[in-house]
Amino acid sequence: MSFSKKEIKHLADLSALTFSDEEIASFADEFEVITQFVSQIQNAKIDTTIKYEKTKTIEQLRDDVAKPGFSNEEVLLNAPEKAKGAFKVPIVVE
Amino acid sequence: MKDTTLIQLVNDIKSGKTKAVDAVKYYINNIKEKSYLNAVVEVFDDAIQKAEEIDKKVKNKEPLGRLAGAPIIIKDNMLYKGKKCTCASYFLKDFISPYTATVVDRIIKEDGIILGRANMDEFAMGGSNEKSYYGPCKNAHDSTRVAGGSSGGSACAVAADLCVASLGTDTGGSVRQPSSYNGVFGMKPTYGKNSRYGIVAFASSLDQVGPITKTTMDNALLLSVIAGADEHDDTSLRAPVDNYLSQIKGNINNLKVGYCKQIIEKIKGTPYFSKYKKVLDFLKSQGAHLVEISIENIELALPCYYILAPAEATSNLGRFDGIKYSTRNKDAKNIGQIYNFSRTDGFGKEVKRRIMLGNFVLSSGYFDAYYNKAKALQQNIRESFKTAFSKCDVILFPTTSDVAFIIGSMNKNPIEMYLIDLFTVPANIAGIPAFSLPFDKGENNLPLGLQILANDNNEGIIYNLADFIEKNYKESK
Repeated sequence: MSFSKKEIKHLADLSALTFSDEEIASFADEFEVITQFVSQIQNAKIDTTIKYEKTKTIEQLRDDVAKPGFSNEEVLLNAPEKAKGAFKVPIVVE
Repeated sequence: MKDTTLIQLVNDIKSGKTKAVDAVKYYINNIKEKSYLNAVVEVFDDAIQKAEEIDKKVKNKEPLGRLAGAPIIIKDNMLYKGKKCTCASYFLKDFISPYTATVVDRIIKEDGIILGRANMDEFAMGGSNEKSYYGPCKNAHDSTRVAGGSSGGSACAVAADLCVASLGTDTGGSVRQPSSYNGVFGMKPTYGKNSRYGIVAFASSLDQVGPITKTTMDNALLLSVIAGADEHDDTSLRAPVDNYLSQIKGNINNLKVGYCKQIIEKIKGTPYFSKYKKVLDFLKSQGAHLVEISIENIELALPCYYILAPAEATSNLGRFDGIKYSTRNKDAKNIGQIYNFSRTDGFGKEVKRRIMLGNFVLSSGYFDAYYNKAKALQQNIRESFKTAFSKCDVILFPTTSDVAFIIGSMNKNPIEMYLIDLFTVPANIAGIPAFSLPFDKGENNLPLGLQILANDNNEGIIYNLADFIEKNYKESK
């Protein structure tokens, strides 16, 4: 399938990414090739009655015992900006 | 010490023949001398001190772990408390691990030494190690060629004798393909065999940690150490872990070795095919039975992978927002701009491509046609493997059908690069174990890998066959 610049821009918005017009054009071309490649699966003759196996079972959960977690310092260790023991962000609600 | 194996080195350190400090210094010196390979992005500054602690234990005759004094390199997507972990991305260039990954912790508990971190494709997305913030890692046998990826640094480091063993991660072939390109031994275990706690997630339902080593026996030892249930990862399998070394028996009598007719169709007429056939003939002469098997839709495993892996990656990489960790764009004025500008600065081109692709296959209108169809196909491929394993014990695939390619020669078309994973992706899609071992040489005398696949939890059967080929096949050429 082919992609318009508008469709690529929409995917970029969903991805929280910004692209130049040139990059969007290049993505549109690449996406055409990649979706053509992955669309091969549309023709697969498969048994749809086979359901995905559930890998998790309830006994795989650990006992519900409280244990110490990370300290405030450890949690904030890699924060690009922090203040008063919290992550710092611009005002969200005015 | 040159090219010593893990098992030999640990024995020498335990017996006092070699000092752990000397081993660490030997590898650090090799890393410096071969810095042009760009395999190791950081040597940890406390490695010598850790080695001294092991030597002290030896001197005091204290009990020693199974990896005593062995300098091991980890891929740059594994956390080791207090050390940097960057996933070879600008986005995480300053990230310090707040805790240690379970697999790394298990190495340390057995007295192994974490020597440093290895180059990789950014966020493990790539098959050549060319897509790294640190620049490409080069092939240990020919520095004009790629190391493979995404665990290129881990494989190159073992092949170039920069460490005695390493860890990589394998989502679609990222341990096995670089192992093949560098002529070393790499395992992608059964899904859930190893804990993923402390491993930066790419595609969580496909990712597995795997050992990369100089011999099959080394690999069996290292997997025995790192594998097993972990309360921090509820996808880790609860089944007890075998001592894989004890499953190496030295014979392959009555082993049923499968060859897949669809794979044979793919490689027929290539130079690889004659080498592959020679191995099959050899195994038959040694007591194995050859069985033709069929895996329906195996050629669709790769397009299936390029739907499922980006879908999971786009969700996993949603956490990189420039707030909790990762590099924040300084010009962002509001919260939306922090997310958008930081991600735009932070991620490289291939990562962005996969995030976009993931959002496409997950978006309404396409979800059923792509994601749901791919999940159903995945289960069908897994069932097909299960049926095949009712007829044989192992299946032989190529790892890659050719030797490592020249750096920069595959950058024009993303599909061309994706196709390199053709033979490795099926094991991830099916969740089964697969191992790559060097078995022959191709163009320019560069290494070629052979892949052994087996049913869930049958790593021991794989190691037994691999060890047999490693020790006996060379003589038969």
